[in-house]
Amino acid sequence: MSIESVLEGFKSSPSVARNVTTWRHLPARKENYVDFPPHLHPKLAEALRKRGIERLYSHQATALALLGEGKNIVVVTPTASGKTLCYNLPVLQTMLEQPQSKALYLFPTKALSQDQLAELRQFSQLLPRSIKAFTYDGDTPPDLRRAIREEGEVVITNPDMLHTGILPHHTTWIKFFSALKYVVIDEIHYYRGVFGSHLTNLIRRLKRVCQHYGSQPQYICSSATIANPMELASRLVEEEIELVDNNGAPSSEKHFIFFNPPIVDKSLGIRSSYIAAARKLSLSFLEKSIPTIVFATSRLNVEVLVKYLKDVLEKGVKDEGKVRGYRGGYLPRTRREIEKGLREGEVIGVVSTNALELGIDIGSLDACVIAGYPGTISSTWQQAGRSGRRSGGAVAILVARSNPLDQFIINNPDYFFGSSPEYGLINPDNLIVLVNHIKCAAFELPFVEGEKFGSEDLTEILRFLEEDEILFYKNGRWYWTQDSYPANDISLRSITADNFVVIDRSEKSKVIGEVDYTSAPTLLYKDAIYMSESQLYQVEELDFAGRKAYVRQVNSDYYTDAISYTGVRILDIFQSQPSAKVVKAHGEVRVNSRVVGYKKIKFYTMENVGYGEVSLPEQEFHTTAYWFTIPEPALSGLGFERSEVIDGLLGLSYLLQHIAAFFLMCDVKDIDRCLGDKEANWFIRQKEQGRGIYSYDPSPREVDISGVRRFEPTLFLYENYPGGVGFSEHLYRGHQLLLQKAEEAIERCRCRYGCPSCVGPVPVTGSRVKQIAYEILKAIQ
Amino acid sequence: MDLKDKLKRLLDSPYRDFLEEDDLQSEGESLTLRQRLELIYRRSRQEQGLAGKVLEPKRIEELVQGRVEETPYGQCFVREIEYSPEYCHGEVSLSSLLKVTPESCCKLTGEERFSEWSHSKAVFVDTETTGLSGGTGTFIFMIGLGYFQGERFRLWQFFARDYSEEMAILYLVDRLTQPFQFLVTFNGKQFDLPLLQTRYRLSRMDTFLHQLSHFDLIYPSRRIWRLRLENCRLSTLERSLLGVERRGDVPGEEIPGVYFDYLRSQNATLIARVFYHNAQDILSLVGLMATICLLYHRPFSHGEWCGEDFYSLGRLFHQLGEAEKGSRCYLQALDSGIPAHLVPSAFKALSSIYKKNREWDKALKAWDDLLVLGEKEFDLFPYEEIAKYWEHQQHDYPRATEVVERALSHLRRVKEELFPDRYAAMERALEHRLRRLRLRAQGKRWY
Repeated sequence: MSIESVLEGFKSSPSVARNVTTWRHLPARKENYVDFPPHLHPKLAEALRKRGIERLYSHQATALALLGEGKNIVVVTPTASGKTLCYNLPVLQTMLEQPQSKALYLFPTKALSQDQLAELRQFSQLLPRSIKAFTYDGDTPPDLRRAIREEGEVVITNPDMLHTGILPHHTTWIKFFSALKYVVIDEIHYYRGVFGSHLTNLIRRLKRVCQHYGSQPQYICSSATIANPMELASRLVEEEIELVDNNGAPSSEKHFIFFNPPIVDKSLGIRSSYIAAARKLSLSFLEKSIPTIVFATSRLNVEVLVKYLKDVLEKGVKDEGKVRGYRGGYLPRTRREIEKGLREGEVIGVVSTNALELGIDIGSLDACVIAGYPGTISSTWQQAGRSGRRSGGAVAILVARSNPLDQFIINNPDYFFGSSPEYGLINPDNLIVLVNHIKCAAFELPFVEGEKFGSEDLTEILRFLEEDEILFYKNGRWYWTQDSYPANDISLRSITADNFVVIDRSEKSKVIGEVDYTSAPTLLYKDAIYMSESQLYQVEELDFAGRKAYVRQVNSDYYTDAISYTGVRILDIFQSQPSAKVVKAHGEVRVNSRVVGYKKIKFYTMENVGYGEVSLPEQEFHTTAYWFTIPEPALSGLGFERSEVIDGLLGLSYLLQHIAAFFLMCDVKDIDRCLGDKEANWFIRQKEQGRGIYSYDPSPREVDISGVRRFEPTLFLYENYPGGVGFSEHLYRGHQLLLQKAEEAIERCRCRYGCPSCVGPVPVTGSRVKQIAYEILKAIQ
Repeated sequence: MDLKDKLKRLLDSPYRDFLEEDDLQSEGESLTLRQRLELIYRRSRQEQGLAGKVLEPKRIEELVQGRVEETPYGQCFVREIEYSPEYCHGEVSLSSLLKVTPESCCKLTGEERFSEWSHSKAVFVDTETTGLSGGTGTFIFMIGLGYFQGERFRLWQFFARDYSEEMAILYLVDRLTQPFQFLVTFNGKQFDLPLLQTRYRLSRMDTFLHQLSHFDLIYPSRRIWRLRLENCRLSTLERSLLGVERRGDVPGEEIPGVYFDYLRSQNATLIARVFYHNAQDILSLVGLMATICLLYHRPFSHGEWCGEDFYSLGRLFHQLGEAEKGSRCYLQALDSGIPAHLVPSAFKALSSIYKKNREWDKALKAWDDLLVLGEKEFDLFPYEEIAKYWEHQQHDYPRATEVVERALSHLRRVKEELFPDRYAAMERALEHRLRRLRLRAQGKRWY
């Protein structure tokens, strides 16, 4: 049965139709083919023909031509448009022409590396000689590493491995670096904010090493649709870049549907479960055997949805494995198996986190159900792009949650369809990031007088490091003089690499999965229901120090969802400046988060069937923050209730976080916000409905805000990196500018009550947020 | 449109409207780069308490007897010492190395190439570096190498008075090592050699060093002494085995710091001790190699080895296929006394040597001993071996059956002490054997 008949069914079914808020029809795009260019290596042309490719898409031909001219490129085309060939073709062409050439592929995740390796090997088997391609990362067995260093022609790795494992040992890669012709950086939209700033510096280090061995590689970047691919690519590799965006791949016509689950309780404004809606919509495709991908916003929701779908679709043994889950934390072997199953059609439905948003090859799917707005326009298009590879129609459905952001998007479709996607911003000359990489670079090769690295005055920084006895200057060179390995102390990502393993006691202590450090407290507390591929387990014991969780298989009609909170406390004030209006400061803070309990939620009915307490150590990290405190007199004149002031300040903190991210050229996720009390007497915590004010000590307890003696709220913007990356000081100095820009942002925004472009989407309560935030802003400047 | 215009055109996000180009640029302009660096790193600087000690410069030439050598790559400092064959390093004389045989080297390294071993073709090498982590940022500032010229031992130490002299020491070392065929180090395979290769490559120079046949003493040392000593570092080995006491040494982990301080202060007082440290290390290489190789030939000639050493030697010889020596070492180990947990393994190893040699009486004796030991902690091994002996060697099925029955009743007696899965597996194995024996006893095909 076809997509069309299911869609007809939607239209004629009132229960679906009345909840569809938007139905857009995106026309099919015709393909734009180009004949093989004359200089294409005959063996390569032959290999392409063997794979059934008789002509190239226009963007593939452009990429090949520009690279042939020695240019660097960034390819920006949608998911599944044959982007991989844009770099594999020129790389293989060069290797056929100049057999000694080497290429380095950088992917943000190991899973992507694996996928590319398989693809490249398959293709190169059709060539007269097969190209030696390898992945080189933490999973590479030690005895294979030497062979890869000496013989690898295409080495596929990730930035972290390049940073700690390859560049600091470049002498063992002498053959590779001497003949490096291409550096491929895929999925550059991933390198936003601090991660991207690190990558630029990593490329600077790579260039120094290449120069040492006399090579000068060309750069091939590729990106999903973001607002500024050219800018981002040229900032990442710091070379002139040519944009390749003449997409020649066809796309089928697509229906994009927004679905808002109906309101079930008018007085409270409660909507029916979006998970249930996503289940129902997915089933209408899956029951007709239409290949479908479902995206969920969290690992927990992935597992819940897999279970629901399996319950319906896998009734007999022969149906087993028709629906699979896919998320980080599954073992690599399992993931490969699922990817293969999808490509070969044995798996017809997959429920995934954003892990499948990236370019992992899973073949063609016809329908895509997005359960919950993924948070950015760019991600949403990426996910929707997973459907519609075949000719014929395709459909993408966005199912909204009841939170303000989802509700805003679903009720303002023009905002989604009309706005440009997000920006990829980076600031590679952030002093802390820069100095860290200068140390690594000095370890790799001594700096020579007159060298350039970044846009700050390098000599000044080198002299500074010399004074700190990190470097030693002699005869025009700065040498590394520390008994340490600097790359080990610098993590490119904010998340620690520590993983928790999940061990099933019911099956001879078999390891069934992994959970990253930051998620462990919210998933693996004692008595939690842990789900993996819809099998339920209960956590018997969490060995926090040993990074292990012991679980046992159970049958349960409920799952658990953690309740947690986050608070910020000031440890040290670096600088502070009081004025009549506000007291601004920056300094060191402690960010605490803690899982305090969990809810038991019944499958299907979503009833809350109980609570449990959790005693886990508080997760804390120290970082730097910028904040300002509003004294009582400044607020009392405005005539708002305290709770209204809090609403207003929450809106304001949303706006300031977004402006600050732009101001700092970082990603919004690199910084975070918190509203609380300067003395840490109270903080704001989300509750089931709305929010509450909680006291800190000895344990969080809800208090009545009107009873708080001195009401002097403090707005914190803190850095989401342990130790901080130095943003706060800039914000402190830019305080006035920030407030002024915030005021202008509200004035210029055409929305009535607030939207994601200003104070955030209107919360369920308090449609005056925009106005209150505006008046507070005026009062404190 | 040039790149800059293209970029400008692209920059039109909702927030970009509110920020002029100047806003972005102006950030940080109020402070100089130096002030910003100090702001960020001020506290770590205070904690470190840098620039505390100021030392008067003191040149190495005044403290260590040596000379400055000119090379095509610049200068470096060289020290040369000669030792007479009678010289004793701890309790071992250097001349004892002259007794090392090609056979022992071949066996212990597992490399054929050592059949051409001669002490006159070997060079002993140890490096001092600015760190232990490896990677291109670790420099080699001193290379010590020693070799026998006739019966006399000559030791050279090449020292880079700063980083710019590293190439000179690499050059001299390469020239000096060219005539040699064998290389002896301690942990050189993991550390010194890869690092030397890195340094040569960074200096764009070639070296023969990695083509030499390499005897890394750490591997046999670990095999022999890991059980007895708390660790197998060279300093531990030389103290316990060679009886070396160092005076005025710099501990290895402090050496990088000593060199960094010297670079800045130009005071070489502590560097003089690094020369001592390096020379001692090289002498210990000689002493350790002599000890290991002589032990290979005559494990029983020396009275000071204890039970654990013999146990380890037994295992070593057993692995090297020298069963006779192996069994003697195991017996000696049991005789000298070894920790209780090693006793069953010693008997098992012994019994498997006897079994292979078809020395059934001795094997049976060893298995009986194991049965006695098994009273304390259940062990299936001796029962199975004895049962196999009666079944396969003597074809005495009733006797074999009786052994298996004894094993089963013993096993069931200790059921509570065993892990359930393991218990079940052992019980299954025994019952299977029992069924088979019964069939065989009836003259039936059991399979």
